[in-house]
Order: sequence, then C-alpha cells, then structure tokens
Amino acid sequence: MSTDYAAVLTYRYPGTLWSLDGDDYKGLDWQDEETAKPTKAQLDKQWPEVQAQIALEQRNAAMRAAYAQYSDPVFFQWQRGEKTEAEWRAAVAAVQAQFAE
Amino acid sequence: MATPTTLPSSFVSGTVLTAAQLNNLRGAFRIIQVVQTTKTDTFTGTSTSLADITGMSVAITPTDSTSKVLIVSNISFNGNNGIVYGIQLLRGSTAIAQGDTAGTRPRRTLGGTITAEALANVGISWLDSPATTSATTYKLQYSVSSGSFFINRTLTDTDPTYPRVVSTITAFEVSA
Repeated sequence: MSTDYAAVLTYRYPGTLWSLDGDDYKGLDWQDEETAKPTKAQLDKQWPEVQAQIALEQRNAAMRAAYAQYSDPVFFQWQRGEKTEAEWRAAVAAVQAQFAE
Repeated sequence: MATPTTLPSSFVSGTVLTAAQLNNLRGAFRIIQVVQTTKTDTFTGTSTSLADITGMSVAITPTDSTSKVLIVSNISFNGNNGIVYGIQLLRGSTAIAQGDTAGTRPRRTLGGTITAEALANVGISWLDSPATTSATTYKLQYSVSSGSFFINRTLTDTDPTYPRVVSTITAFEVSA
C-alpha cells in the first residue's frame, strides 16, 4: 500500500496546520509557520511505522470490543453468582487467545 | 413571476398564449436550473478556524433577482476520535445558515463530535435569497478543535475494508 500522507501527517505532525487535496504529496499545502514542511521522502520513511501503529490501534480496539462482548458479561454474571470465577477467567483467556500474536 | 398551481381553463389546444400567460406558465416550473458539484477525491485539513474544503463549491447565476436558491449538500467525513468539528455554508464570503449567538461558541451550519472510524454522512438544505442575477458561489468551510478532518474517507483508510465515498453540493434556482 502506498504512503497514506494524511495519516502520516496526522500521527507524526500533530498540532501543525496543513491541508491535503487528494492522496498525493503534491496536494499538500503546508501552512504551519513553526514547523518546516516535511519532504515526501521523510513522510514515505515514516509510513511503515504509522501503518504499524494504525494496525495496533485497530487490534486493540477489536480486543476491547471482544472483551465487552464475551468476557465482561461473564464477569457480571459471576458477581451475581450465576457463573464462577473460573468461567470468567476462561472467557478472558479465550479473548486473549483470539488476539494472540 | 406568477406561480399558478393549475393551468387556466382557457389554455386549450390551439390557443395562442399571451406573454403574461406564458410567464404564468413558466412560473409553474419552479425549478429553473440545477447545478451540482461532486467531490469524489479526498481532502484532509487541520484548521481550527474556518477554511475551505477544496472542491465543495458550486456556482449558479440566477435568471431572476427574485429567485431563491436551494442549496442541498451531502458531506461525508471523519477525523480523530473525540474532536469537535464545524461546517459552514457561505454565499461568496458571507456565512449563511448559522445557529444563534450563544456565548463565545462558534456559530456554524452544523457541527458535533467525531467518532473514530465512523464515517459521518450529513446533509444540509438551505433556501437562500441571493437577490441577484450575477454569478453566485456557494461553498463549504470546516473547522476542527484539534487533529485532522477527513472528507470522503476515514482516518483509518486501509484495504479492503474502509470505503472511499462521495460528497456533493447542489444549487437549485427556484422561481419566486
């Protein structure tokens, strides 16, 4: 996948003023007066790290959703005496196994 | 321009209509012209004050100064989770369609809080009275509290899941 310049700028240059028309670097209008306009090469170099960060954030979000859907209800059932602690821990382990690297 | 809702009974086959009758007949056709701009590419910006959204403008030249112009727009956008956005409709450089003044809160056409990865699709409809027969441009501007504002895409924009979409702004000249 080619560099997502908007994503790189968003993740690596927070608080700066710019706009990007389309997806290409040539559409970048850098308006920030305190930070120098990054070059295309600089942004291209940072893209793999940003891509990994986005993937990690997506994984963490999916994991949080899985806990909420599968193990959190079991926790509350355990608190009400409807399930055992072991069942809750098993549900947590199942979610962790689903997202194991 | 007069605006009859039904044709007069005198309008029968073979009748030669007078100028006034023709004008009345023309008035029955309320939508005189339609101009649309579609934006299919993306735009991203970080401005905390109102700034143009490239490609979200439409120009119309009313045929009559009494005409109204109906602006209909659909905008799809996303941004950093939890940031506050505002979108403003302008005629030329004049902001139109704004909420009332309330303290120091910004007056905007619409606004709210962005949820990560939830592509928002919002609509604007506004009936304007430009009172001119000169070319008139309507456009949209945006502002965000922080972070980035994405048009036609989400912040997370990876193959093959996340859609690229379209935004439009349409101007209808409506006879008075």
